[in-house]
Amino acid sequence: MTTVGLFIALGVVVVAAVLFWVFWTGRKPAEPGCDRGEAAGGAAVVLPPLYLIDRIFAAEDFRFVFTNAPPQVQRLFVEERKALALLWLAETRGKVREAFVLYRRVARRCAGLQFSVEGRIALKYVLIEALALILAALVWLWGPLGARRIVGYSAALAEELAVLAARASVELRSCALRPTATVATNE
Amino acid sequence: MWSVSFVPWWMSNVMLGLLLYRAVRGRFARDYPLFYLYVAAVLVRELVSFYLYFADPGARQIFYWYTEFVLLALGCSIIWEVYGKVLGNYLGAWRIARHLLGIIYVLLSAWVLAATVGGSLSSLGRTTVVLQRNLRCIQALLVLGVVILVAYYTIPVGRNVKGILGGYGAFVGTNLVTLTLRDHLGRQFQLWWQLIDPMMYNIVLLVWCASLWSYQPNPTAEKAVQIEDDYEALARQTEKVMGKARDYLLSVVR
Repeated sequence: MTTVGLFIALGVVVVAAVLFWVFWTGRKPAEPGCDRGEAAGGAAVVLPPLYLIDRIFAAEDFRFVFTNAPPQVQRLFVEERKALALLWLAETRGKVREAFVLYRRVARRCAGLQFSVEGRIALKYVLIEALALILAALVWLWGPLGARRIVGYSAALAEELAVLAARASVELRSCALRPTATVATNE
Repeated sequence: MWSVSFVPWWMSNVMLGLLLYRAVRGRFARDYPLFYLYVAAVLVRELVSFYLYFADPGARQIFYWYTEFVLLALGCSIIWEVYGKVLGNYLGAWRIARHLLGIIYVLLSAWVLAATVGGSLSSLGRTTVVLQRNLRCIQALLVLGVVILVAYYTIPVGRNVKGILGGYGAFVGTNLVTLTLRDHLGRQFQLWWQLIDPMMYNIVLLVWCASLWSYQPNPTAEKAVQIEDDYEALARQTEKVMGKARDYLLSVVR
């Protein structure tokens, strides 16, 4: 059954990939390759500044507003901060995508592509997109502060589980090494 | 001879003939030799098969299955021709393609080895349907490989090659699904199989007729540049930007 599912999945993926490629390239004309000048300029893709993260996700602002402001202002503040956080995430993703697209346009003209470098960059891009999407979902659901708390809580839980698992494996190993008392007595 | 069930069959033969006629008339058959060899082989097979249907139905069955595997092999040559047309001027992408093909080869070898060790090597080709399905699986992986590379590097492709790859890729994918279902479900899928495959094949032939009506080669390839130093520097810079972005995202939750 697994093999059947795999074959069918492969067939569906091939058809979907081919149709997507045909229609997507039909709508968007192919981008021209880069020359050296563009490659050099594009290498200076700049991410939004780091201090924005501290400002947008700062817990102090939330504490101040939730201590001193009426409920309507609190609601407005949370909505505005959520919008800012999502905008920052979109901006960061956009910049990473820009660097990645530019890189591919340059790379395709190069005769000496290295599979390991290409694979590494592609994998990093996929991981960053996945991380950004997960963060965006958390921010959208629980706001910037809530997202931070949830991830912090999950990380602490994972750490606790890891400690428990380590303790359990130590216990199991010491049980395996200890000789059984009943066998010794019988003999 | 004039049964309704022959209509899709005659339609496909007309379109195959039209494809060959347009290529000869436009003098561009030599630009896609393996593709037109495949088209000619299919047309000849269908016409001979039609003759044998009335003259010697028993021989027709054998003839059909032997030629089916010849056509499968020619189908692989179409994919090879597409690889050459699309990646021929992009040496770097061609290198990456060789690595991907190497990975596919290793996966297939592992599969055959697993089947041998598991004592089920004979099952890889226990029936002609299963053998066909397995060969289509290889073709599907090859098609997926070239589509991924072309999409990833946004390599410009002309209407002709896009039509060949799009049509053949869709046909391979659908055929893989129907052959799998035919093997798994057996006779109860036979009727659907005899309905879906010819219908899909006619759609593919329509796509080919539209995209190969006239000659439209791939856009002129950009000159390959020896920008190895720039490539390495840009790869480093890109990885640096990505590393920074990852750190920014992680700092949100620390």
